[in-house]
Amino acid sequence: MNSKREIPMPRWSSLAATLAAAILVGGCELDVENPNAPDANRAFQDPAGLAQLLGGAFRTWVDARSGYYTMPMTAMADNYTASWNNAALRFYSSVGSDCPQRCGWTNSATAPEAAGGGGPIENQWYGYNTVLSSANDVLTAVADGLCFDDDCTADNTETSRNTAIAKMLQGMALGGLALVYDQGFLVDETTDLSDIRNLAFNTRQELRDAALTKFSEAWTEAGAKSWSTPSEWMGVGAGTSYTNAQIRQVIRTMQAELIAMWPRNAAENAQAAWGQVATFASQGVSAAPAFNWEFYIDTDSRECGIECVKTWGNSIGTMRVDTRVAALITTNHRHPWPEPNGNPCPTVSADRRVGDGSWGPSDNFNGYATKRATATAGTDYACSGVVVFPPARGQYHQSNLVHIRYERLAYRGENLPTSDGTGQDPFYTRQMNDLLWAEGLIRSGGSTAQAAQLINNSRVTRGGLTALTGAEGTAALLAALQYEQEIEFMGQGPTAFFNRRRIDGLQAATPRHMPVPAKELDVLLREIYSFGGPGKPDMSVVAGSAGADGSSQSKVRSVRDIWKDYQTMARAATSRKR
Amino acid sequence: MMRIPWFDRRPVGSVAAALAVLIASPLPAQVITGRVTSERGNPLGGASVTVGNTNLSTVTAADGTYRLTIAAGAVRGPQVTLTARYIGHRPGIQPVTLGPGTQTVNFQLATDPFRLDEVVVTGTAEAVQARKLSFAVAKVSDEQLKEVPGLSALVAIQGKVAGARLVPTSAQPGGEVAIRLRGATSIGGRQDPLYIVDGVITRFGLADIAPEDVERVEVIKGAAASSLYGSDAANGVIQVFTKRGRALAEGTLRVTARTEAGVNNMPRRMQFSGSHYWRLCGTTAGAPCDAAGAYEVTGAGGRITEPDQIVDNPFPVYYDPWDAMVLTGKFWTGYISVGQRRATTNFNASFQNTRNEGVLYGLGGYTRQNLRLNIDQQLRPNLDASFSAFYATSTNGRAEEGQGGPFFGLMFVQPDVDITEPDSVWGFQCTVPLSGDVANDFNPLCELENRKITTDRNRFTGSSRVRWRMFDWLSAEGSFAYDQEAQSYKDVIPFGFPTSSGTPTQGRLIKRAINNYQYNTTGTLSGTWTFGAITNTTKAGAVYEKQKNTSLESSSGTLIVARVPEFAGADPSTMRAASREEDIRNVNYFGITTFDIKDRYIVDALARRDGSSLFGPQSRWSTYYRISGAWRVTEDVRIPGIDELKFRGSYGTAGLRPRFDDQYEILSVTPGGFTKETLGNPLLKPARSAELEVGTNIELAGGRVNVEYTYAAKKTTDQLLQVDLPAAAGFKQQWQNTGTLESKTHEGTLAMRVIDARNTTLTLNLVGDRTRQVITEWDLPERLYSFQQMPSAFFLGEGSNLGVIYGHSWIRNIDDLYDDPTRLPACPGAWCRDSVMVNEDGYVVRKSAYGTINERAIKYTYCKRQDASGACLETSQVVEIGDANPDFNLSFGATLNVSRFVVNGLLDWSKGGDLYNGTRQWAFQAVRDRVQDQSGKPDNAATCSTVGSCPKKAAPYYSVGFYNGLDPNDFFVEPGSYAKLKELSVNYTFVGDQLRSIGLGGLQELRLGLIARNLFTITDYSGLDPEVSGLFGDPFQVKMDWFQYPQFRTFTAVVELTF
Repeated sequence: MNSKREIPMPRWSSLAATLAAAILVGGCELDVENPNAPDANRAFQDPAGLAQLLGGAFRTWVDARSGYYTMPMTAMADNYTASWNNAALRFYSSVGSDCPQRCGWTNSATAPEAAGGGGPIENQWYGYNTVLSSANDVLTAVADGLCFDDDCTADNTETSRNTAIAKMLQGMALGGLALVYDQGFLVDETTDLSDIRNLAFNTRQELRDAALTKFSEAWTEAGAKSWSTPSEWMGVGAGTSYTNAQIRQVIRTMQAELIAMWPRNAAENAQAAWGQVATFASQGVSAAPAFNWEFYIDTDSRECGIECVKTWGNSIGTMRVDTRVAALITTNHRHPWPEPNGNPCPTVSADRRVGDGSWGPSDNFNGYATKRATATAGTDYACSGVVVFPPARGQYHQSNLVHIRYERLAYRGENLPTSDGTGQDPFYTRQMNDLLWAEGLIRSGGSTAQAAQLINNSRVTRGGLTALTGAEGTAALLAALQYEQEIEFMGQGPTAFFNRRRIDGLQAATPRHMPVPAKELDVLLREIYSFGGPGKPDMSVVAGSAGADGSSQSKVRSVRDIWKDYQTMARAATSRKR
Repeated sequence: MMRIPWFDRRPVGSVAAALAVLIASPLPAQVITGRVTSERGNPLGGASVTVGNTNLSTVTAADGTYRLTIAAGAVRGPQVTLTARYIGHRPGIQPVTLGPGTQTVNFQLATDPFRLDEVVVTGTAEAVQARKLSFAVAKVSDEQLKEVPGLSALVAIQGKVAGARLVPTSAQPGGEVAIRLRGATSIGGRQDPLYIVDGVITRFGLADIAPEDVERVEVIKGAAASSLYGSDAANGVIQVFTKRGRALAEGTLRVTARTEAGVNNMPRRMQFSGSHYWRLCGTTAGAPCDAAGAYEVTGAGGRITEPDQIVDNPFPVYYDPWDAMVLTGKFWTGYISVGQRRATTNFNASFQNTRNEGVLYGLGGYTRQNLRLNIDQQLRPNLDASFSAFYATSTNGRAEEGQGGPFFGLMFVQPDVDITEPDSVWGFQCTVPLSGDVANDFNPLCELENRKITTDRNRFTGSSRVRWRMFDWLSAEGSFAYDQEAQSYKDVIPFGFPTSSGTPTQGRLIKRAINNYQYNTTGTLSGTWTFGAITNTTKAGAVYEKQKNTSLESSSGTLIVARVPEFAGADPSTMRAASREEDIRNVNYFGITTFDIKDRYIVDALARRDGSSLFGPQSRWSTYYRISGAWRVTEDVRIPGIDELKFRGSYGTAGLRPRFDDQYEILSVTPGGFTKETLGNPLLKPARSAELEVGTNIELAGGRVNVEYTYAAKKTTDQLLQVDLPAAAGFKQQWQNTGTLESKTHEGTLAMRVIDARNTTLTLNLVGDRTRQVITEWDLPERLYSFQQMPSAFFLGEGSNLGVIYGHSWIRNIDDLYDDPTRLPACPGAWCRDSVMVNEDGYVVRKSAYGTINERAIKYTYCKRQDASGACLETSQVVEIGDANPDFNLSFGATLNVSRFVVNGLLDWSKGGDLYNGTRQWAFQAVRDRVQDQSGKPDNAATCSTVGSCPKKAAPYYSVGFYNGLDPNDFFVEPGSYAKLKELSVNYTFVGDQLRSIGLGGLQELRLGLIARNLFTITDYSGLDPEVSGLFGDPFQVKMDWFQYPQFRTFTAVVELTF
C-alpha cells in the first residue's frame, strides 16, 4: 500500500512552506542600526552635529584638568592634603611611607591603582588627546570645505567661530600635554595618521611652542568676526556665552599661564619668556572689560563628575588645606600638624579670606566642630576641630583648615544647606590673570608699581591686607606674589603643582612631570619609563630607556615572564644553598 | 523509517524473502494485548508499547496492561517488533508474528538505574539512545531531582554533572547562579551556556522556573557537542525539560500537592576586632571625656589615639550587631500539579507559590508565583502538536551588595554601637556615635529598615510545536516560541535619611523598567533510512530568532517631599532619564547526519551557517561544523565482566556572539556635545571555539556500575576584547577579535548501584573534573582586571592562567629582600642583614621599627628591567600571588532507599584554588578586623629587641601595611578548598494499606520528608562562604570576597500528597 495516500498533505505543506518563507524573509534583515548612541555618520550629518564635538571637547578638557585623577598633583604640591587613597592620593602625597621620600610615578599598566597605576597618569593624557582629536576633526572638515553657516560665500561667521574655537582647543590640549608630560604627539588636522603606531614623540618644548602657535592662530581668527559661543559649550543649564572678544582674552590668559607654568624648576623658570607672559596677560581676562572664565557644573557633572579638585578640596569631611599653606596664611597654625590636639580654632589671620575660621549657620555644623559664622568669617577658609584622617596614615596629612571658597561645588549634605554641588566653576579668574601679569612684569624687569597694583587686586580687595607699592623690592614682591598665588590658585586643577614645581617648591623626589602612560607605550610597542621615586631623578629620563625623544620598538618583557624567571632563579638559588 | 530490504542483515533479509514481503497481501486488523511489569512483577503504568517502523503505539494503564490495535494494512508482512519502554527500565523488545485473533505479549523490564537506555535529544539529529551517543551528554533525571529540588531550576544540577561548576552571582533569594561547563571560553566575558527550555531558546535566565516542574535536564558542555547551536553555543547548552504528563499511566489523572516549609540561617559569622586603640576616659587627669564617659576626647570631641596605637583596649560595652542583622528567615513553597494521560492527549498543569526571606533583617524577601501548562495532543496518527505556556510573577526585596551594603556596614561598625537602638523616625538610630573617628561606618539596620530596593518581575513563555510524520521515514517539524520578561526595579532612599554623622540627606530615587522579548521559529525536515546494517538519520533545518530588549531608567538625586518616593516628590531639575533599545536578529541554517552501522559504529557530522545582526556588516555569516564517532567495542568483542564499552571522539566548533554594542562606532553624548568613545569594527565576528572531546563509557555488573570519562581540549580564538587605541586615534577603544584561550578538562563519572536488594537500594554517584585554562595568545598589553572598587588583581597576559591573581607580596625570607637592587645587603647599611629581622608573624621587618608604630612588613621588589650592563632600570612589586583555579572538583552523591525510606546526600568538594578576601582587607583601614585585636597577646617588653619580645603590633602594621591602600596583596589570599554538604534529605512515602489504615485511603501516596541544603562546610577559608564570586565580570575568574550576600543554610520539612 502506498502510504502517501494516507497523508493529508495540502494544509500542512502550506504551513511548512509559510514557515520556511517566514524564516527566509526574516533572515534578510540583519543590518540593524544602533539607536543607543550616535556614530559619526549620524552625528555629523548636519554641520551643527560636528560643532557639538567642540562642546564635548570643553567638557573633556575640564575633566582632564580638574577631574578625579588630578587630585594627587594638588596634594603632591602640599596644597591640599588627604590620606584617602582614592586615585592614589595618599600614595603620591605620602612622605617616607611607601617610598623613602616621595614615590615616583608608578607607570605600569599592570600596577594596581592604589599604588599609582592607571588613572593618575592616564587621565590627563587621554583627556587632552581626546580634546585634540575633536578639534582636529572640526578643522579637517573645514579644510575639506565644510561650511557651518547657511552659505559661506555670504556669511562665514559660524565657520570662523568654530575654526577659532577648534584652534583654541588645539592650544588647550597641546598646552595641557606640555605642562604635564615630558613628551607627546603634536597632531593636528594636517597630520597623516595612517601609520599611527609609528608617530614620533615631540618634546615638551615642541608641544608648548605648538600650543602657543595654535593659541595665536585662534586669537587671530577670533578677531575676524563678531560672534558668541553657545552657552551650553560652557556647561549645560547655566553655561555662559562668551563673545569673540572675551574668548580672545581667555586665549591670552592661557598663553600667559602656559609660559609661566611650563618650567620644571627654578632654572627653567628663570629662562621663561616673562615679557611675553606680561604681554599676554595684559590682554587676558583681567584686562578691561574683566571677567572670570567659568564652566557651569550641572547636576549630572557635580560631586566629582568632572570637577573633582574643587569638590574634594572644598568638602569639609573629605579633604583639607595642607598645613604648609595653613601655616603660611594664618599666624596660629603650625606646620607640621602638632600632635595630638592639632592646630587651634579659631584661626588667626589678617587676611579676610582666612578670617577667624568660623563658618556655617550653627556651631558644630554637621558634627565637624566648627563655630557659627561671625562677622569676621573668612571667605575662603574655615576651621574644623575634627580631623578627618587617621594619624596612622601619616600625621602630615592632618589639618584643621578647610577650603570653602568653592564649597558650592562640594558634596551635598556636608556643606552649607544652600550648596548642592552645582554652580559656576571658574578656571581663569581675574585675580589669576593679574598675578600672572604681575609676575611677568616683575621677572621681566617691568613696572613694579603696576605689578604691586595687580597683586593688590587680590591682596587688598579680597584679602584686606596692606597694599603694596612696588617699592618693596623684587624678593618681597615675589614673596607677596607667591602668597597670593597659594590662595588664588588653590582649587585650580594642577596649577598649584605647576606653581610649586617651577620654584623648586616640591618636596624632594617628587616627580616634576609625568611620563607617557605605560598603557599608551604598550599599545605603541615602546619602552616604558618613569620619573621620580627611589634612585631616580625627579624629572630626568633614566639612561637607556626610551623617554624624551627615544622610541624603542622593542616590546617590554611581560610581567609574567619576568616573574617566572625570578621564580626559576629563586629555586636555583635555594637548591645551591642546600 | 524507510527500510531498503535487500541490505537487511536479518534472515528475512534475503532478496527472495524481501520480495515475498513486498508482494504479500495486506494483513487484516490485529489486536495485541499484554502487561508490562518490572523484574519484580510490579505493574508499570505509563509504559509505552510501540510497533517498530510505524506510528503505532499505546500506553499501559495503571495495572500495566495495554491493548494495541493494528489496523488492516498498517504494517507490511506478518513480522513486527514490539518495544516496551518505561522510565528507569531497560526497553523490552519482542518480535511478533501477526496472526488471526488476539495475541498476548507481556514484557518484564529490567531496571536501568543510570538511564542509559533512555534517549537524549540535545545536540543530536533525532532522539538517540544515550549509549549510542558519539559525544558526552550529561543527564540529570527526575529521580535525581525529586529528593531535593533546587532552590532554582539550575541549582538542581550541581554536583550531578561532571565538569559543570555553579557559583551564585548573588546568593540573595531569587538570584541567578552562574554556570561554567568545563573550561572558560571567554577571556573578558562570562561563560554562561545557552539555555533551552522544552526546545525553546531562552535568554532571560532560568530563575523564574519552578524547580518542581523540571522533569529532566540534558547538558552538553562545549563545541564538540554543541555545534548544532552554532554561534551562541561555545559555552555549551543546558536543556531543561518540564513535566508534560507523558509518563503517566493511560487513563490516569494525577494530582500532586507539595508543601515545603522551613527556615534559613547563616552557618558562619563574621569575626571582628573586639578592642580599640583610643585613650580611655580618666587616663589624663582633667581631660574631657565623651558623653558616655568612655573615651578621652579633644576639645573638638574627637577620640585620641593612644601613643602606642596598639588595639588592645576593651570597649566599654559590647553589643552583637551580627545577631541583630543576620536572622533566621523563613522559606516556604507550595506546589500543585495536575497531570493526565488519556488516549491521544497528555498534559500537566502546575502552580507554585514560593517565598524565601533569606537571612537579613528588613528585606521584603523573594516571592514568586508560577503557572505552567504543557499539553501534547496527537491530532492524527502521524501528526502531533505540543503547546506550552508559562507565566511567573515575582517580587524581590533586596539588599545592596558590595560597598555600601549591609555587610559592609557590619564590618565597620564598632561593637559598642548598639545598632538596635530605636528611633522614632527611622526605626533605628542612624547616627553612629563618634562616627568621625572611623571611616565608612554606618548602621546597617538603619539602612535595611529605610532603603528599599525591590525588583518586580513578570515572565511569560509560550511555545508550540507541530511534528508531522509524512512518511515512515520522513517527518517535518515546525515550532514557534515566544519569551518575554518585564522587570521593574526601584531603589529608594527616603527624603531626610541621615548619614552616619547625622546629616540629613535629600534621599534618592532610581526606577528602571526593562521589557525584553524574543521569539524564534524553527523548521526542520528529518529522515531516517536503513541500508541493510546501516541506519542513517539526517535532519536539515532553519532557525530565525529575533530579540528586542528595551529599558528605561529615571533617577533623581534629590527628593523634596517626605514620604513621596516617586518623581512627583523629586526636584525636577535633578531628574534624569536614560533609555536603551536593542534589536537582535539571527538566521541560522543547519544540516546534521548520523550513521548507525550495525548498532556498533556511530558516525555523525553536521554543518551550521549562522547570520547575525550582532556580527559586523563585513562578517555577517559564520560557519560551524562537527564530526564525531563512537565504537561500541563490546558489540564487536566480548570482554568478560564488561557489559558495554564504548570509545567516542568528537571535534566541533561553536561561537560566542558579540554583545549588541560591540560592532558600532560610538560617540558618547555628553551635556553640551559629543565625545569619541569607541571606534566601530565592521569586521567583528563571533569568537570561535573548537573542541576535541574523546572519552569512554563503561557499563559493568549488569548495568549497576557505569563509568564515564571524557577529556576535552578547547581552543577559543578570535576572542572579543576591548582593545585600547593610541591616544592620537581620538577614539579610546575598539572591540576586536584577538587573543586565544585554551583549556583542557578531564572529567569523570562513576555511578554505582551498590545495593540492589528487593527492599533496599543504595546508589552512589561520584562526579569530578579537573580543568586548566591558559591564555595562549595575547597580542595586547598585559592588564589587570577588576570591577568597580574591587582591587585590580586578576591578570590577563600571554601564558597566564585565566584566574591568576597578581599583587604585592610580603617578604618572609630575608634573602628575598635583595632581589631589589636598591636593597643590596652591604653592611653596614640601611638594608644590611643586621638591620632586618623576621617578626613573630613570619614577615621581614626593619629591626629599628620592630615593636614601634612604624613596624611594617616589607614588600617584595625585584628588578623588572635592566640595561645592557645589568644595571636595573626599573623595579616592580607586582607578582603572582594566587590562582583562583581549583586543582579539581569532586562531588559525592548517595541515595539509600530502604523500603519506603529514602536518604539522599550530596557532598561537594573543591580542592585547591585561591580566594581573595577583600571583605577583610577593607576593614583593616578602620581597625575592625579580628587579627588587629591584640588583646589576647602577651604585653610587649619595655624594649623590643629580639623576636617575640614585642608580639603586640600597632594598628598601622595592619591598617597601613597590609591594608596597602586596598591594593591586592598576598596577606588576603586564602586557600579556597572546601567540602560542603549541599544536600541531605530523608523522605518516607506512605502508600496503599498504610494510608488506608490512617484514614487517608483517598490518597495514592503521602510523602513526608526533611531537607537540609548547605548543611555544613569544611574549609580553611576565613570568610563567610568559600563559594565566592565577584559581583561583576566572570564569576569563575573574579573570585573575590567583596561584602556579598553569602550562601546560607536551609532546613525544611516536606509534605507531598499524590491523588
